Amino acid sequence: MNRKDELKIGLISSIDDEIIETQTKKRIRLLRKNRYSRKKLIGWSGAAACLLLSLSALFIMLIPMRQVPVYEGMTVSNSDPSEQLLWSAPEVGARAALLSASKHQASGEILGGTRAELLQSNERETTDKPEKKPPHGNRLEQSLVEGTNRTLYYAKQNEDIYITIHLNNPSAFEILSFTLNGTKYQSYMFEKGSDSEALILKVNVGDAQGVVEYTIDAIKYVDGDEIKNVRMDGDKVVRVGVCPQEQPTVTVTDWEIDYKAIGFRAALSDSLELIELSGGSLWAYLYDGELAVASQELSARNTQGAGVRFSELVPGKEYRCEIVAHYDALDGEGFGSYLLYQKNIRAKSHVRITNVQKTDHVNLGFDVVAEEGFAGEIQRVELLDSLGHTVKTGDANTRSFLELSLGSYTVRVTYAYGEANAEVGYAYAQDPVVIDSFGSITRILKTGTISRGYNEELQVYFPTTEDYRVHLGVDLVATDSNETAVFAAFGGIVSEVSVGTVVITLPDNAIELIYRNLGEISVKAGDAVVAGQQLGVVGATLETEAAEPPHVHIELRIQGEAKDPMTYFEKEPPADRLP
Amino acid sequence: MNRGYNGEVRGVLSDEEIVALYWKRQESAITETDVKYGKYLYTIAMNILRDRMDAEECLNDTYLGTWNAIPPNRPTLLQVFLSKITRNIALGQIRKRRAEKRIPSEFILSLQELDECVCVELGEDEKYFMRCLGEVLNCFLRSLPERRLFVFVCRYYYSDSTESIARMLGLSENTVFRDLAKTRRELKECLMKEGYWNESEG
Repeated sequence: MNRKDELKIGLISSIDDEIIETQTKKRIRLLRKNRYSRKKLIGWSGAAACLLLSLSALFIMLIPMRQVPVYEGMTVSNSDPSEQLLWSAPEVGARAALLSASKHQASGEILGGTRAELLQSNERETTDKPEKKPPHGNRLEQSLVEGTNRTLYYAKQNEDIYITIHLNNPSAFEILSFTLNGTKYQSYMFEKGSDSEALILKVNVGDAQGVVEYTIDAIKYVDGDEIKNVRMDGDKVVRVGVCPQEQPTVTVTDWEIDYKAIGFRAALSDSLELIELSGGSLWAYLYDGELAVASQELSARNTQGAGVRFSELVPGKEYRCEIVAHYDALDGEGFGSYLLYQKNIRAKSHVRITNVQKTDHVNLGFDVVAEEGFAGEIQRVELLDSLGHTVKTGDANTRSFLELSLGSYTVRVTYAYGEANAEVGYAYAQDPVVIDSFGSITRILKTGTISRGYNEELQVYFPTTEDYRVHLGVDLVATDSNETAVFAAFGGIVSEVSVGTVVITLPDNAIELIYRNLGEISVKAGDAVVAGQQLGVVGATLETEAAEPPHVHIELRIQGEAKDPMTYFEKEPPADRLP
Repeated sequence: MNRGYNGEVRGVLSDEEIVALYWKRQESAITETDVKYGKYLYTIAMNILRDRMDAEECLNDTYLGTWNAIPPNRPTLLQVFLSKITRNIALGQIRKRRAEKRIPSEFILSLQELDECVCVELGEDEKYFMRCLGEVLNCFLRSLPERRLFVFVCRYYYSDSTESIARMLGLSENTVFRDLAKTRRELKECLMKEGYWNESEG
């Protein structure tokens, strides 16, 4: 390429963007318009040419043939198609923009709310728009009529939609009118941007719910002095799905709970037949934790209630039962999965845990009762924390767990039953037990009194330093000079020992109990201490409290934050004792 | 809804959204560009190159170029931005092709037409010279009637054939020829008047 060519290329490349943009838009518009008019009148057959007189041939050549307009189909969009800049029109039936995903963000928020409510409620039949539950997959376009490939467009109630009627009209005949759903629309009613090949009509979906069909008929055009009908080659019907407020719900009744099976009846309420129309399905799932262990398909037609039964369960074990519908909710998201019902259910057990009670604030007692005729064998008793992890394990005769730390606990009994005791079952205490106290303060100092309380807001007078300070602990003074021993309020690890100070840590829940102002110390760092083990005696080693009578200064830190120990200790000595 | 050059049917994002994807370095930006402008850019490349394989390669290079250009660029007119990249890449390919002496395209023909009205030597300061020349050209184009401006841009920027321009406008090809000839003649007069004409070159 020589310099002159480069100069010409550079010259053309220097045309302003503004000019290029304007002309490009025009070019695109004209290209679209002329897409259908590329077919030229060709093919004069030799036989025909022989038969026609030269004058006739000349006449035909001079007067171009005018092609009858042909209706090709309709597309729907949620915005004015005339404002959309499309390079070239794709195939009819797929070219109009479907509703954008952003249009449906609001409905996504509704789903989020529903999810939260579901989590709060153990058993509930969703009446709002049900939750979409991954990962069952979505499709944007979904045929509602089985066996057809008709496109379904989406809209919201009372939304304005734009229906574009596509014509192949190379001779640019003037389109006079058409009939849509029985209503006649004249040319002056067409939207701005309509031309001889694309008639745009704005219609409001209205209060309709479900699938709304728009049927076109009788497109009229003007040919000279005559009004003629357009040839109708395209699909006359276009479907718009309007997300109904009334989504399918399910009512579950007649629970039957056995040792190894559970059953119930599920009645579907789907007044708009969304599940059936969209070729969807309704399923009952049984989950063990996050694992689906069983499923059963329910009939979407059976509104009277279909029987569901899950067997081969483990006695006493908790399962989660869910009923999920897979269908097109007409929300623009396409085919999806929706949680209609959820309930946690426990299979019947041969053994019950009864009389669960707290004693001395930190101990847990209970009874284990086997049902009459139980021939199995109790294998072990476990204490589980709120996450279901085993905290303590006892044998078959264990009926209490002592010295529990703060937290929520439940008791589980594991037993063997059946032939040769080959099968396993569980029993769970009905409700969890919450330990919210370390027990009586007398666990630290058997006889004593609180000489100075916890105060983080008001400053209190310190006679040793003769000033006012906050006091992030409590001081315990022994009222009996023979009872000056200081004991561990709960078991843990001695994480620190220094002059007059012992720190006992519960690593699992980041609790630290700090004993200060001790005289003698009888543990060393790294020791594992148990509740009630002596740590030392009251003393006067704390410099800021040296002028005060011997006492033990107790500080409590949970997650590193100072707390008032008396929030977690009882002032009164225990009134009840375990047997 | 649009159909990308690769045939995939996708929803059309706005230019701002596509540019935002480039800025977030999300590869879907290229897909979205293809969906919205694939055919458009392919046509530009095809007009210049007249070779399907080369045009497809040009399209891929355009996407790569756009990926490298955004950021730091944030084009307000993505379509024009893309078309410039495509055009430049296609021109690069046509230079290479000329070296290989392959079949000339519509672009080459349109370039030859400009011989009669561009007849000047580049000055010492090439960039400054081209800028001045560009200003004269833009001033001239703005003075043109709408139809002739359209015909000029289609023919010399997009390298559209005279037949396709005639079809777009519903005119005869002769009319397009006449429009182009008149515009070239007037451009020549304009350049001569502004002093961008070298007789010895002509």
